[in-house]
Amino acid sequence: MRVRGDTAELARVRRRVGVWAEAAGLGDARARRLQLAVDEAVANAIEHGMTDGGHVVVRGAPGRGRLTVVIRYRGIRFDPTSAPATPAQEVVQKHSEHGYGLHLIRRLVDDLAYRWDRGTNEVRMTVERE
Amino acid sequence: MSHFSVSFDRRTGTPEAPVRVLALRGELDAHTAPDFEAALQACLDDGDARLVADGSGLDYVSSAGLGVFMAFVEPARDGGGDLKIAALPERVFEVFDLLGFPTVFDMHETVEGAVTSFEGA
Repeated sequence: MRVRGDTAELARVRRRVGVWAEAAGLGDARARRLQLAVDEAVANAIEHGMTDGGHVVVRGAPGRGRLTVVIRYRGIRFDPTSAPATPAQEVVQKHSEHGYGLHLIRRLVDDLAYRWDRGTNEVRMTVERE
Repeated sequence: MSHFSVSFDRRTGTPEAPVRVLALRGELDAHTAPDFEAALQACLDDGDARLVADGSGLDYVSSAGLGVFMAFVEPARDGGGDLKIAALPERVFEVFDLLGFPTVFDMHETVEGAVTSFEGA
């Protein structure tokens, strides 16, 4: 699916991930984890990473016993697998308003992969079936 | 489009400790978080610092929503009150719990419990 650079699109993204998750046989709890992780990554792309006027492409790639969601967008290079993140507890204790998205992504998915391809970010998030 | 609403016209508690309840409904994400932020700011602007977020109608929360809670807990405490969180459905509580929010926020199973906890505080 193609997603405009507008946070109003996030609900549609979550619904679509829910459809893919159901088709892939993920249980409710794991489907919710993937929906939230994808929401965080797409919101981050829309709010911080995208080139103006661009869009995000979100694709479901079911595998044996798992579902991978691939997120691609042109813009600022951002690798969620290696971006430094203050330990969650420290962020919380400091009462920070930001910095939770990356923690959530890392906690929610079973596998997180990143590739930079000539100006395009590609994030792959996988959740295993229960 | 995410469906979200916040109503904050309910005042309860005791004359000594009036409490403003914000009833959250729907999905609190990066698109709708500014609505929640505006509601909390309106409460503080009205001089209400004893606040309870009634999460019983909340279906979803993302980090953008969590950030709003975090942004207002200190202003509420500085104003002599608190921002307490009540009645979160299990699936929403899980997200708060995943990041350790229960160590910062006073969380209650019921709105009533959150409201009465202000008494004598």
